[in-house]
Formats: sequence, structure tokens, C-alpha cells
Amino acid sequence: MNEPTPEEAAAALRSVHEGKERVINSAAGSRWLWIVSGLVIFLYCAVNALFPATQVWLIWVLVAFTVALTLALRTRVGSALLGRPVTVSSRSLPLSFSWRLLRMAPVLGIGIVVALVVLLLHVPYGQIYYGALAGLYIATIGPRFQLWLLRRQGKD
Amino acid sequence: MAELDQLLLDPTRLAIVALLAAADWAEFGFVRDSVKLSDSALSKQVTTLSKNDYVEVRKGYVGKRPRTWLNLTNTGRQTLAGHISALQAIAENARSDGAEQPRR
Repeated sequence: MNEPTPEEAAAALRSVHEGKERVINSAAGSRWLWIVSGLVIFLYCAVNALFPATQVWLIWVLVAFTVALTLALRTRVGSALLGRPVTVSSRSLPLSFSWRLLRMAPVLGIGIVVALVVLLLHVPYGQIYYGALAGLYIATIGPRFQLWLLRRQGKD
Repeated sequence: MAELDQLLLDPTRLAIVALLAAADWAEFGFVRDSVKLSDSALSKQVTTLSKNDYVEVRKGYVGKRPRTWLNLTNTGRQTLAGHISALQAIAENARSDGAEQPRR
């Protein structure tokens, strides 16, 4: 067997790194999925605030949407239907508890800030503002944050 | 010590396997576009890799469209890990040799 030269070995290692980067870049998935998710969060909060009677069953709609989306993204056919040609390996990029928590942190942070503003300034329909901010975050910054997290995990 | 793998010495095969290592499943089209190969060229490489139990191929349908998915097997992952370690050792040795040379 011909052993590669140090230059060839370095080039091969770069190619391995590039492969990982390509998978991570495609893992953010299609943009519309993030936009739909943001819209669902906004609509859920708005309907909840404007029609409190719907609270009982509306939560189940949200749970069903979340479960369906999560399951779809875990299957090959579901991922393909949602415009994701590849699923990131949990073996090569394992998501630790702290990373999972960090992924939730911005949405929780927005909730805390909005709750404080609503309480201190007595703003009506605080849920709608929360829904708008959280939805906007998910639709716009969500994919970039996901990419950043995956790249950080890849370096660990 | 980790050993180099004969099959993965080919840069194209290494690129395919490295891509699949970061994924659970990847669509054939995604791999083809990423490694910049034609359908038939990728097919040949995948056949070689699957014969050696490095890659698993699954076929299915999304709606009415046929799709092919590729997955790196455990054997493939272990072999790639060993191959990467061996490549790192070569690069590392060259670096340390280079660092020692000016002192002589």
C-alpha cells in the first residue's frame, strides 16, 4: 500500500472536514419550514390571547404539529418531503443536554423579557407580542442559530 | 496504531464516506452534488463501498418519485475513524519533523 505524503494526508483531512461542513450546512433545512414554524407559534399565541375559550384544544393542535414535524424529520421520507436531503448524525454530532438547553434559551429569554414588560407596563395581550417576537426569531434567526450550534458541536 | 484503509485512499471514495459520516441518511442526489460526480460515477463508487459493507443503500418513494438513500454502516464508520487517525498521524509526524529540522 502506498502511504500518502503529508500533503496528501492534509488534503484528505480537509476533505473529511468539508464533508462534515456540507452536511451541517444542509441541516438547517428549507427556509419555508422555519417560516411556517414561526407562523404557527405566532398564530397559536394570538388565537390563545384573543379567544381564551380555545385554549383547551388549541394546545393539542400545537402538540400534534410539533410531534408530526419531529417524527417527519427523523424519517427519510418525511425529511425528503420537508425538503431536507440529509439528516445530521446524532453519533457524529451528539447533542448534549447543555446544547439542547442553549437551543431553547432564546425563545425562553424572549418569554421572560415579554412577561416582565407586560407585568411592569401593564400591556394588554402580552401573549401576542410574545408570539410575534418568538415567531420572528424562529423564522429569521432560528436557522442561523441552528447552524452555529451544529458547528460548535462539530468542533467539540 | 490506526491503519490506513486501501479503499479510502481514493479521494472520491473518502469524500463520499466523510460526507456520509456526518449524516444518518443522505439522499443520493445530495451526495452526487456534494462530491460533484455524475449519477453513474457515484453509482459505481457506491457499489464498491456497499460490496465492502461500508455503505448501506435503501430505495424508496417520495410521492411517486423514486429516491435512493445512503447510510454509512458501523463497519464504514470504524474504518473511517481508523483511516482519519492514520492520516492525522502522518500529518502530525510531518509537522513535528518540520519543527525539529531548524534546530539541527
